[in-house]
Amino acid sequence: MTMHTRWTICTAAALFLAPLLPPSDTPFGSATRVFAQGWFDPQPPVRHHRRARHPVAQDDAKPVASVHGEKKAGTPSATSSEPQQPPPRVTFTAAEDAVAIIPGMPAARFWADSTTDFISALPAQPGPWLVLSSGGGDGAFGAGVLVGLSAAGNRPEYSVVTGVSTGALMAPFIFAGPRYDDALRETYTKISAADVFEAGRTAESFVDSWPLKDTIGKKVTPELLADVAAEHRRGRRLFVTSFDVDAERPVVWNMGAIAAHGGEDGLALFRSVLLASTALPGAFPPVLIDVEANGKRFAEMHVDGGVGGQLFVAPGPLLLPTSDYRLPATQLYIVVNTGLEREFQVVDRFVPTILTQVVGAAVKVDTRLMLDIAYSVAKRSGVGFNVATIPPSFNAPSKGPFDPGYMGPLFQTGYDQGKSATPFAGEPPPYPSGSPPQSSQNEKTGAN
Amino acid sequence: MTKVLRSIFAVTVTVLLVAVGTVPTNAVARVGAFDGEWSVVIQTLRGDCGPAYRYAVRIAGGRVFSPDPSYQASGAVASNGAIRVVVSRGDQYAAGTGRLSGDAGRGRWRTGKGECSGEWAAERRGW
Repeated sequence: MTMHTRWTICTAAALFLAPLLPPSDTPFGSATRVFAQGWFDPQPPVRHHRRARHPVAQDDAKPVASVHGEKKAGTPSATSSEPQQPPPRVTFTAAEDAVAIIPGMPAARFWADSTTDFISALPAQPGPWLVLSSGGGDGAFGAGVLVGLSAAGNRPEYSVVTGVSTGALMAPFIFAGPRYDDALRETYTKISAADVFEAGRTAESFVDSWPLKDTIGKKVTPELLADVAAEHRRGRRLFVTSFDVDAERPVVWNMGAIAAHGGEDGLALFRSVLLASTALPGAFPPVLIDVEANGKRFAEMHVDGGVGGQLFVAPGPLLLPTSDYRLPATQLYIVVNTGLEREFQVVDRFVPTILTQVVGAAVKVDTRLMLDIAYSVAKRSGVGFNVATIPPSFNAPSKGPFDPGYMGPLFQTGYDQGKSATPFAGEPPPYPSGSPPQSSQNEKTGAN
Repeated sequence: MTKVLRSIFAVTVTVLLVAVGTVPTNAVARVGAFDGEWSVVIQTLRGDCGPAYRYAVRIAGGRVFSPDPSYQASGAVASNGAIRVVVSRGDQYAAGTGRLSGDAGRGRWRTGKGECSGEWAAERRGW
């Protein structure tokens, strides 16, 4: 199966998962990391065997404004369960999208498969690189690792930091330095599902991510932006990824350049990119980002950077076994926020349960393969390889997505590992053996 | 019904605690008093029903609805903002009480058989 195929499955699964989500504090997935990550189980524990019929008659109808205050194209009944339709998009061509830039910020981004743009965006001098993977709520592990490294006095000043999805969310705090460790800890131990999503369909997703947008707005302050900009001017680089749905192409955002642009538009774009990088398609609404090409303005549709890869080291062409490209890094550190161990459960004969299990497995496979590729490239480059992964022994129960009772212990596990004498391994962990895989602590049954 | 299913239902019904009322028809809020798009955070303080979730709720004409077809609800808000809620799903149900005032509200909830209970808080986000 190709990576593209796997991600097609992932995305398709996500599209179908959310409206029919299985309970997350049930045998159908409570303690599995996939559910704890939240991206594949954004709904609270509600089991829907079939789509409910419209619960009420459509009387007393009157137009209702969008929660976001947008003018909606449609004016459904106030009691309608049909999501309101967003305004139609401005159409544009592939050629226009290929050259589109952020107005006033031409250095804000580049295509993630562009080798020349990537190389030119890198720091002038080699240094240690930090790569932060996707992982949803399991980002608590990576946050803990970095805070633990700080506590032990073993955290280098990374010359390049890259982040995907939850890795993107934590990346600015790490890039800006240990003075943001408290903010990092709070973000990954105090947050709850209510701070991330609101149950209730939108026209573009099965839940709404405005709470996460608000949370990002509170956490990503003008002060943080200024500190990221200062580090960028010193030559360090902060990259996060999103996926351009229209172009079917991953994008690298040069967050330091955006921060250096500053101002309200710089701050707004910075926050929008972080929201986009976590916007699992189907589950969360995509993020529309205003661009300009040849004098024409339109909006691109961006979703979770994980669609283009669960972690980002360099453009794909530079990672090929046939490439002789050598990473200009002194050390490569990778923090994997996704559990790589198999997690056994007897899967209920229920569509979302099946898809959730499959998607979770596919993400693990994708993460694992990219980790192996990164290892090969590091070896080829003569760069030290260092990887931190969630220990297989971690098996705290989770009552649902973004459960502080789960994320807190996971943060502590990462913290302890980061503070230890051996926070990183020198090679990817072994593949799961034929021995019985890790299993959930909850009931294992396919029955209701 | 297994403990698990009870807990599922507990959270399910809390979705609607603020959304559904058994307020007598003659006490229904003046049309428009609390109409709009509300966001409700349900927090479990006792029981195994998950920590905290947020739900979209729509009030129209003093009656409360879910904007998502996966919720089933019926009810209303009293003219003084008092809300008494009963949510049913099959033979399961839960009840809550509370009050809306202006653009906010809060109250308490518990499942029908008392497996879980907690608090809810609501904010109006649009009209």
